[in-house]
Amino acid sequence: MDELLKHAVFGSLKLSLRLILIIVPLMVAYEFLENSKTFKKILDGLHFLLKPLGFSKQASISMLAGIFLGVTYGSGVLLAQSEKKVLSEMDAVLTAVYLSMCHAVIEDTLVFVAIGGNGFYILGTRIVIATVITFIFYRYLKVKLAKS
Amino acid sequence: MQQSIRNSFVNGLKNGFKVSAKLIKTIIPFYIAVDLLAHTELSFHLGVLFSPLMKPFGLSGKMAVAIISGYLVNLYAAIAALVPLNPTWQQITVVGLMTGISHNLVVEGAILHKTGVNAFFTVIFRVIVSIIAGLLLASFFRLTNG
Repeated sequence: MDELLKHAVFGSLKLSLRLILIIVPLMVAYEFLENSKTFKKILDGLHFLLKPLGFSKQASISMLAGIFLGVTYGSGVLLAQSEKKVLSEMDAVLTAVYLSMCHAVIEDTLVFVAIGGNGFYILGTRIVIATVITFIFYRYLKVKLAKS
Repeated sequence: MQQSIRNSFVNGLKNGFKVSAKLIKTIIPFYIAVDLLAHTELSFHLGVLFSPLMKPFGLSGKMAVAIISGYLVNLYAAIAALVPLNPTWQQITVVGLMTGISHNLVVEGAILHKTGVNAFFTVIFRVIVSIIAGLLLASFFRLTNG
C-alpha cells in the first residue's frame, strides 16, 4: 500500500511539472502576441475566414479572443460588446455556438500533446466540426429570419 | 518599448503561474485517486461496466472516468485520470478531442447562459458534438491502423 501511494504521489507531481513547463512559456507568448501588431493582422485574416459563416467584423474580434484565450475570457469580450450593441443577435448566437465547441484551443491542445497526444488531429477535428456546425446554424437562422 | 516587453513578460509569467496553481489543485488529487483506484477490485468492475460504451471510441472501460472527469471538471482532471491508465497516443488524442469540445460544463454553461443562450441546450449540445467527434476520430484511427 505504501509503495502504491508513493507511486501515485510521485506520478501526480511529475505530470504537474510537465504541464507547468508547457503552460508558463505559453502564457508569456500569449501576452506578447496580444500586445503586438501581429495580433491585428491575425484579426483581419480571421475576419476573411469567418465571413462565409455569417460573422461580422465585430464578432470576429470576440471570436479571436475566445478561440485563443478560452470561453471565460472570450465571452467577457462578447458581453462587453453586446452591451455596446455592436453585435447583432445573429452574431451573438453564432459566436456562442462556435465558441462553445472551439475555445482556448492552443492551451487545450498543447496539454494533451504534452502527455503524448497528436495535436494535429485534436485541433484539426475540432476546428472542422465547429465550423461545419456553425455553418448549419447560420443557414438555419438565415432561413428563419427571412420567413419572419 | 523596453518597458512594454518587460510588462508582457511579467504579465505572462503571472498568468502562467495562476494557471499552474489551478492545474496543480486539480491534477494532484485526481491523479492520486485514479492511480490508487486503478489497483482495486472496484476499478475492474467499473472497467467491465463501461467497456461496451467506450469501445466505439477505441477506449478501455476504465477511461470512462477520464471522460466524465473532463466533462464535469476540466481538462486537467481528464488528463490526471487518463495518464495512470497507460493510454496509447490514439486514446490520448480521442480523449483530448472529446473533452476539448465538452468540458467544465457546470461553470461554462453558466457563463454562456449570460450571453443569452440557453444553458441546458449548450450542455446537451456540447456533449452530443463531442460524442460525434470522438466516434469520427476513433473510426478514422481504426480505418488507418487496422
